[in-house]
Amino acid sequence: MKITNNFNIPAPLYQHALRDGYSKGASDYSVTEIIGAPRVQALRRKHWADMTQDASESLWSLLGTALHSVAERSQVENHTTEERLFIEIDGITLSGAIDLQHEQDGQVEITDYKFTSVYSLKGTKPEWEQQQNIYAWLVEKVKGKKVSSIRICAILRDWTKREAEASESYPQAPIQIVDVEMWGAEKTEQYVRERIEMHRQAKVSFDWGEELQPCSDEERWTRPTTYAVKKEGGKRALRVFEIKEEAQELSDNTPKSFVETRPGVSVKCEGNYCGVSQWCTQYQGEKNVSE
Amino acid sequence: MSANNVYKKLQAVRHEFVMANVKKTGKNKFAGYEYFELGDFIPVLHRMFDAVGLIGVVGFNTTEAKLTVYNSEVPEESIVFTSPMVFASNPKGQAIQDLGSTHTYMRRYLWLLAMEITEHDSVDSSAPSNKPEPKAEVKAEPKAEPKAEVKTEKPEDQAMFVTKMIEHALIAEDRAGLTDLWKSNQKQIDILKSGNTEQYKKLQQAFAEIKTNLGEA
Repeated sequence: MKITNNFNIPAPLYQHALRDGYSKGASDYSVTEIIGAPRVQALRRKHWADMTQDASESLWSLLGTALHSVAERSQVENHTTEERLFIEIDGITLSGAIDLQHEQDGQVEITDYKFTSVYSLKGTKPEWEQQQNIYAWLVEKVKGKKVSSIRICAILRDWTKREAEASESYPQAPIQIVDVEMWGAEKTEQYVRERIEMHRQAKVSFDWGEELQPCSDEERWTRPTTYAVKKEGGKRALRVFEIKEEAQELSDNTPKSFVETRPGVSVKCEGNYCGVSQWCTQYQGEKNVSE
Repeated sequence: MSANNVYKKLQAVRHEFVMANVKKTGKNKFAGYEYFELGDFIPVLHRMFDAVGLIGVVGFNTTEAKLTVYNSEVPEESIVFTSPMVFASNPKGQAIQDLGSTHTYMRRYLWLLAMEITEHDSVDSSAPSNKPEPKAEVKAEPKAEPKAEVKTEKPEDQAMFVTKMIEHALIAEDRAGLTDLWKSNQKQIDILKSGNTEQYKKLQQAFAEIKTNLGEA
C-alpha cells in the first residue's frame, strides 16, 4: 500500500502511518478479521500493492495505538491489559487481543477501548457486539474463567461541552462506558464457526479465481431506500416510510402531497471505507445499473 | 462448569508432564536432535489422565484430525484440539502404509498440541533419502501461541505435495470434496503460492480441470 502525505503532517507521524504495526500473532485469523467482510479482505490481499491511503487518514489509528500504549504501561492489580489469546478451532488458529480484563471474585469483566463519535452511541455497533462476545468466549474457553460482563469504554472524539450543557440526553462526559449484550457460549461459538467457514471459503474462491461472496447489507452499512411524503412546496417530509405502499396511502389521503423516493445507499462502499470499492464488482456493478 | 474442571485438570497434567521429564527416544541422526515417539509419552499421559479423571479421544475424517479431552467426571466438559489432515505419502509404499503413517503422525501432533510440548522444528526421524512420510514439517509452537504450523518449503517437498494434492483431487466425488481438500491444505498452499509460483500454478490448473470434469466449473 502506498502512503501519501498530502497534508504535510510532521515526519514522526508520517513514519507511524508508514509502519503497519498490526499483528495477529502466530494465528491464521484474528477476531477482527473474521468479523470483517471476507470479500473485502480478499480484495485487499489482491490489490494491496495498488492501494493508496493518505497518512492523515490513519490519525485515529495513531490515537488508538497511543491509548493502548498508555493503558499497557499502567499496571493495576487484578487487571490484565493487552492479552492475546489463541484457540484452535476447525483446523485454524484464531487469536484475539483483549484490551482489558478485570478479575474479581473469580469472574472476568472485559473492556475494550474505542475512539468513536457521539453519534455511534445511539446504539451498539454490531461489530462491537460481535468482537466483544468472541473475546468473552475466548476467555472462557482458553482461560476457563467465567466472564461476568463485556463493555466498551468509548472515548468520544467529537464531544463538546456546550452540547453536553444544552442537552441531558447528550453524553455528559467525553468518555462513556457502554454495556454490551452477552450472547452466551453456544451462540458465540456457532457464530465463530460460521465466520471462519465464510473466510476459508472466500480464500478458496479467491485462489480459484471465482466470484467472491457478496458483502451483506450489514457489512456495507446499507441505509435502505425510503419514501418521504411531502407537501407541495414544502421542504421537510411529513413522514418517511420504508414501505412504498404505506407512503402512497398517506399521500393519497393528504391533499397536495406527493411521495419522494430516497434511494438507499451503501455508506461503506460509497465512502470507500473498505479501500477497495474501485475493484469491487459488486459495488461497481450496482453503480453501473443505477447510472 | 465443575470446580475441578477440564481446563484445570488438563493444565495440571501439562505441568506434571513437564516435571516428569519424560525421555525422548526418537533420534534424527541427520539433523542430530531427539524427539518424542508416540510410545514415549502416550503410556505416561494415560496414567496421568487416569489419575485426574481425563480421557483423550482421537478421531479423523478426510479433512480434519481431532483430539477431544473429556472430563470423565463431568463428560459434558471437553476441550477440542483440531488440525487439518495432511496425508503421508511414500512413493515406494502401499496406500495402507500411508494411512498408518498419517494416523501416527496426526495422533502425535494432536497430543503434542494438547500438551503444549515444544520440540525441535523438524519431526522426521528417518533418512532424507528414504522418508516414508511427507516432508511437510509440523512445528509445535511455544506455549503462548499454540499454533500447529505446517511448512512445505523445499522444492522437492513442494512438488511431492502438489502431486499428492492432485491425486486426492482426482478421487473427489464432487465440488464440495474438492473445496474441502483445498481448504484443509490452505496453509501449505499459501506457502506454495508465495514461494513456488510454478508449482502453485500447476496445482491451480489441475484443480480447475478437475472442477470442470466434475461439471461444476
